Amino acid sequence: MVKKMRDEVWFPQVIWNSTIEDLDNDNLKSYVYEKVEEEKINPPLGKPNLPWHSVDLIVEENVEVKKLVDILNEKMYIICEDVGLHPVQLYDIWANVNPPGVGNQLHAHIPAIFSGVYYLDAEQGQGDIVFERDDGGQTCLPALVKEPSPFNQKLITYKSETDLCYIFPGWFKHRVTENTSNKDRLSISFNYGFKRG
Amino acid sequence: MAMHTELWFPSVVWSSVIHVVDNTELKKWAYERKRKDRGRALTNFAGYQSNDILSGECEQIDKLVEHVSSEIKSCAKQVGLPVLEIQNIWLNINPPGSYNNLHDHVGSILSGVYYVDASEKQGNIQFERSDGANYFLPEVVEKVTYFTSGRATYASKSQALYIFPSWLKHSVQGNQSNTDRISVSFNYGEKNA
Repeated sequence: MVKKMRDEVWFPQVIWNSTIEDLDNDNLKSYVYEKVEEEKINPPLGKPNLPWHSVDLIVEENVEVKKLVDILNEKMYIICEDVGLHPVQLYDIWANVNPPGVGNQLHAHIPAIFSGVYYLDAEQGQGDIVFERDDGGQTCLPALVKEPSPFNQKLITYKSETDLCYIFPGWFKHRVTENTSNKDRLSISFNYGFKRG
Repeated sequence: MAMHTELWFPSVVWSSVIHVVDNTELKKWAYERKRKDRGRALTNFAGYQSNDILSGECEQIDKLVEHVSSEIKSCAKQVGLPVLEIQNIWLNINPPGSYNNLHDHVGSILSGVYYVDASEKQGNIQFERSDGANYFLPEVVEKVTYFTSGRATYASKSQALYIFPSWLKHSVQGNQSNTDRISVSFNYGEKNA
C-alpha cells in the first residue's frame, strides 16, 4: 500500500466568529443615530460625503460601547494567545449605517493586525460580508471545482445578522454586498493592533 | 460565548520520501541530457534548467511521472480539485553557488519537485507568504505559528517529493556545497485546459 503524503497547511486566512448577546442593542442604536445627527450638524473637516454614514464611537461616552469593547478585549486576548502574538490594543471603533441600496467596496484595514465587525441591526438581504482571496490562487484555480473547500474557493461569504461578531486579519480584503432591504443596516467595526509610535 | 475559528485559502504543502526511481540511473541521464540540451534561463541563477522532458525520453522520469500522477490525484481529491494532468516536467542541475529566484508557476494548479541528488546544504526550498500579511505583522512575535509565519522552508534531500499550489511563491537557497544539486520539477493543470 502506498503511504499517504504528509500535508501541512501554511498561511491561511482566519475568521473567528461568535455571537455577543449581552448588549443592549436598542441603547447602542440610539447612540449611533445620535452620533450620525451630530455629524450632520457639525461635519468633520475633510470628511467625504458618502452614501453611508460612518461615525467614530467614543468608548467612555456610552456604557454599551464600553461593554462591547470589554468583550472584544477579552476575545482579542484569547486570539493573540492562540496565534502567537503579544496582546493587541484597540486602535479605533466606529459605527456604520448602510441605508437601502448601499454596499461597501473591497478594502483592507491597514495597518491593523485584527479587524472585525459586530452587527447591531442586520439581517439577510441587508448586505453580507464577502472575503476575497489575494494570494494568487484566485488567478490559478479553475472556475469550476469538484467540491468547494477552503483550499479551492476564491471568495467566502459570511452572513450579516444581529448579534454576530466576526474577527479577521486586518489585511484580509473584504466588501459588503448591497443592502436590498428597505431599512438601515447597522454594524460596529473595529481595529486592533500594537501600540503606535 | 466561545469563538469558532475557520481557516480559509490555506496553502498546502504535501511531502513524502519515495523509492520508485533509480536515482543513480536518473543522475547519469541528467548529465547526458545537459550535454545535449542547452536548456533555458528562467528563475535559475548559474544553474542548469533543461527544456521540457517528453514522455518516453527517460525510463526513470516516466516512472516518476506515473508515481507523481497518482499522488497528484490524491492531493486534488483531498482539496476538492478536478482531475489534473501533467503539463510539463524538467530537470534542474544547480552547481555550487547557484540558486533560483522567487517565482511561482502561474498557469498551473499543482506543482512540485523531486530530489534526485540533494542535501540540505545544497539549497532548501522556501515558500513565501504573499497575502500582504508581512506588512502588518510585527517582526518579533511571541511564537511562530500558522498565523504569524511568513515563510516555510523544506529541506532539499534525495528522494524527497514535495507538491504545492502553483501560485505559492518559492525560491531555492544557494548551493553551499561543492557538488551539484539535481532535482526534477513538474506542473499539473486542468485536464484538456
